[in-house]
Amino acid sequence: MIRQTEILSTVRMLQDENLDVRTVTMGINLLDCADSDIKNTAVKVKAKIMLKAGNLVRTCEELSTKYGINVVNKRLSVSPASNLLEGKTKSDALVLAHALDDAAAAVGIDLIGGFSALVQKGITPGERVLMESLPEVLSNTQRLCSSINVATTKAGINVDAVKIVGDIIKKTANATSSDLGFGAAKLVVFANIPEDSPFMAGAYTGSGEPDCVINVGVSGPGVVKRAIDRLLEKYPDSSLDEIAEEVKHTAFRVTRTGELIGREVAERLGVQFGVVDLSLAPTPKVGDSIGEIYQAMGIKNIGAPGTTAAVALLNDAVKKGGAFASSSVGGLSGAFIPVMEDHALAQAVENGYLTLEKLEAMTAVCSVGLDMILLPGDIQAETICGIILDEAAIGVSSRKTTGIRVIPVPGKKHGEYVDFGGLFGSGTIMAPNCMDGSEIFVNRGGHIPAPIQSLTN
Amino acid sequence: MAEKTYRYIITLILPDRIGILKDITTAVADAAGNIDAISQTILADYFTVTLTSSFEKKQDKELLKQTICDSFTKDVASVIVLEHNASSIKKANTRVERYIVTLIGRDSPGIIKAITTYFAAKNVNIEDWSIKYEKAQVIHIGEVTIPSQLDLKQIQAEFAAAISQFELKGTIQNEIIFRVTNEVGSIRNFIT
Repeated sequence: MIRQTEILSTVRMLQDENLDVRTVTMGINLLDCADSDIKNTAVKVKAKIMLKAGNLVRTCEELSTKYGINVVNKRLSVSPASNLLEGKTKSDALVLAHALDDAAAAVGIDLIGGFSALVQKGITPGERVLMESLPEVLSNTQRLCSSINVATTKAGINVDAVKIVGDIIKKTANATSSDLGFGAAKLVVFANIPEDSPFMAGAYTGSGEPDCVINVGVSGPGVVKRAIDRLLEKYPDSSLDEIAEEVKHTAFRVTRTGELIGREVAERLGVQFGVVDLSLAPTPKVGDSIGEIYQAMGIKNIGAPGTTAAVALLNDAVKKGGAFASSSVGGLSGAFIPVMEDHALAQAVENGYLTLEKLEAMTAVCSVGLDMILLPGDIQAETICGIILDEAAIGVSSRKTTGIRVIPVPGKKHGEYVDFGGLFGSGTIMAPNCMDGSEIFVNRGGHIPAPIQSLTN
Repeated sequence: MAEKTYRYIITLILPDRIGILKDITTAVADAAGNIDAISQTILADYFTVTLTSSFEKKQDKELLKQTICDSFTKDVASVIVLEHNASSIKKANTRVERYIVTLIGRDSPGIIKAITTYFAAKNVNIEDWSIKYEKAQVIHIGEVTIPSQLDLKQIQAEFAAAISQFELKGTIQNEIIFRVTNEVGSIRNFIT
């Protein structure tokens, strides 16, 4: 028998605190679509996506009605497209990109991830074709997202790949200058990329995944924030461990809603259920913010000393609650800090409290990395490479995922305001304290070896 | 118990005090009845219990009622005894799913009438309904079963229309969402 307080608390989470299923992402393996003629590959890719994902949106909407949970996004991730581009050209890459984009549109999907390459140890010809095609691909498609993994804890950091990617980010932003460089917002550079994350723009279907799989991303920063508020209203002197306990309990409930939706979607579509990714992913809406959680904990000015500790507390408590709730927790699972997509973080940048360097420290303990960071349009590619190398080093050394999604905004300078609209939000252009000086280091290229696995102090 | 038993439904209402349940169960047990189900609540300080009891021999309903009343001579109690008649119970032969209905907002006359009228017209069976007040708001929570063949989206839209004359926020959600967010256990067990 369900108690009335339990019913009302669940209704409150869903109605008033913005708890939703942020994304149901179907992962599809496209390796069986490979063909010597790219046009045939494109036909097979479209057919397979239509076959597997044709009923995804309808099924999600039916379950949304049944349980009263908003399933905000229905998305696709595919196996790395670079695997279909071996022996192909840049124009072939564009044909494949359009096929993916068109297929996503046909099944009613807003974003499709997996135009990706894993180049942490070296670059194959197909991966090089994919990377070099990105400025054209991301400026000529609507739904396609890309990710490049440049480092792992086991392989170290491929600096040669970072050099290419830094340049590509600049070119992609410039190719979409009429949209304020928005093309770069659809490209994530990773260290230790997860194979099963449902969140864009970094979702792809890894080689360890089944032919077709449903992964779910649940959000809910508003629920966590209100839980802390309620605790502090009742017990104003609550200690940080008591706050962590409250976050943990809330994360349990949030995770369960995601697993319920994911399992039932998978069952109805006759595919395997993969993971629920419990990432506190904000939106620009007030009441749906990670930054507001830190403020509720007592960090008045986000970026002040103590902010990194607050991120660590939140990230760990979320993971613990999620792990207790489900044996199928995966992806990134933790706290995102996408600056543009979170009004409180964006405000902290505008106030000058939150700097790029402080964000970098926070990424050492959050679940992703430097996400949705606006940079000056005239920033050097080598400086972007330096930012990527620093983040990759944090991920590789800490044995965690770090992602870098930076947007050099053509024609805009440090401190200027940019608005992408919608879920991508708005914000102030940031810049490193030192805009140059790493060129020689970056241009040496080569490989930063994998870190030692012993002597861990 | 013997193979053939006689089952009775007994309902008792009286002002609440400590020991009521003890008194009625003692009365039934002393009459050689085996209590096999109890549902009890306190509403506006009135204790209400409905129980079923099986007997090896057919009972005189009036005599059984008097036996129970004798245990409550100091109370203003109302007792009803009915013979359980399985053949008189009309059960719809359709597949149903359990949903939780919630309504939160400003109280006003006619809310329950509007809802029950709509649900009855749609063959939605109300199995439990409760009302409470929190701050200045009325909160209705109901457990209902909805025939599976009905279009849930349409039901939700019509339900919203039925309550649109009141200042209320209403939801109809499958009960599983409330179970998975509050109970520990494998999700697979809830959806299969």
